[in-house]
Amino acid sequence: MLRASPEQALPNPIPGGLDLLGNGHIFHVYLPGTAPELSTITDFNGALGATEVLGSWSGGGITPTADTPLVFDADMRFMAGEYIGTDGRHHQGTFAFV
Amino acid sequence: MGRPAPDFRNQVHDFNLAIDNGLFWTVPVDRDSVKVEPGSGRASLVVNNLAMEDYFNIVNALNDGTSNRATASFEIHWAPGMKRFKVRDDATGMAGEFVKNSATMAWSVESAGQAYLSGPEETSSSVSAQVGHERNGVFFAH
Repeated sequence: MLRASPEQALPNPIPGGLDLLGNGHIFHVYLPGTAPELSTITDFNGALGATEVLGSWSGGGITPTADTPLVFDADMRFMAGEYIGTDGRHHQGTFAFV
Repeated sequence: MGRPAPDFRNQVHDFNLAIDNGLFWTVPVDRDSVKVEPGSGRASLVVNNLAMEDYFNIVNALNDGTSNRATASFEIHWAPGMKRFKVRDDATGMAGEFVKNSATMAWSVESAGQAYLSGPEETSSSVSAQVGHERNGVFFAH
């Protein structure tokens, strides 16, 4: 099984997406709840995992107040399997949406 | 009652990928970074020392504004789930079979001489989580 690497052709992005800034520019991503499509790559056939996770964090010299914890919100996904790259060829690869 | 959603008006850090590879915040990772059992929903994504940027807030990130270099390591675990569902969406051209489950995450980041660390993984919780098999694009019709 080949691994996607800088030397291997990347996939193409999904054709649609969201106008996240409201200025007409389409970002090739859908957020959970906005569409069933959670892959960011197209011509893809494989495993997909997606989650939105909330938790706490610390660091950076920031001291939170007692009643206001520092909260993180992370949209994390993976795609692992077959795809057609920008070179038009079939590849196997593993990708993370971070 | 779950954890309150973050208030993005008070956001102080936004760690995202900065590379312009034609994909939206998506990069190739080592094959071994992902372990997955699509049938049960159990999966993990473990990545170490990924080059990122701290854009401070998401609007600045989407505009590819000023940022600090950052290095991130993280691990996410999806638990087995019981609720299976199929989806077919002609509008976006995708179909798949998924397990709705839950996930937890731990991470660490170094940026601009500062260290940032999530709480223990077991203290995190997922708003949504799913694992399965998907096909889209040219594979959607098959």
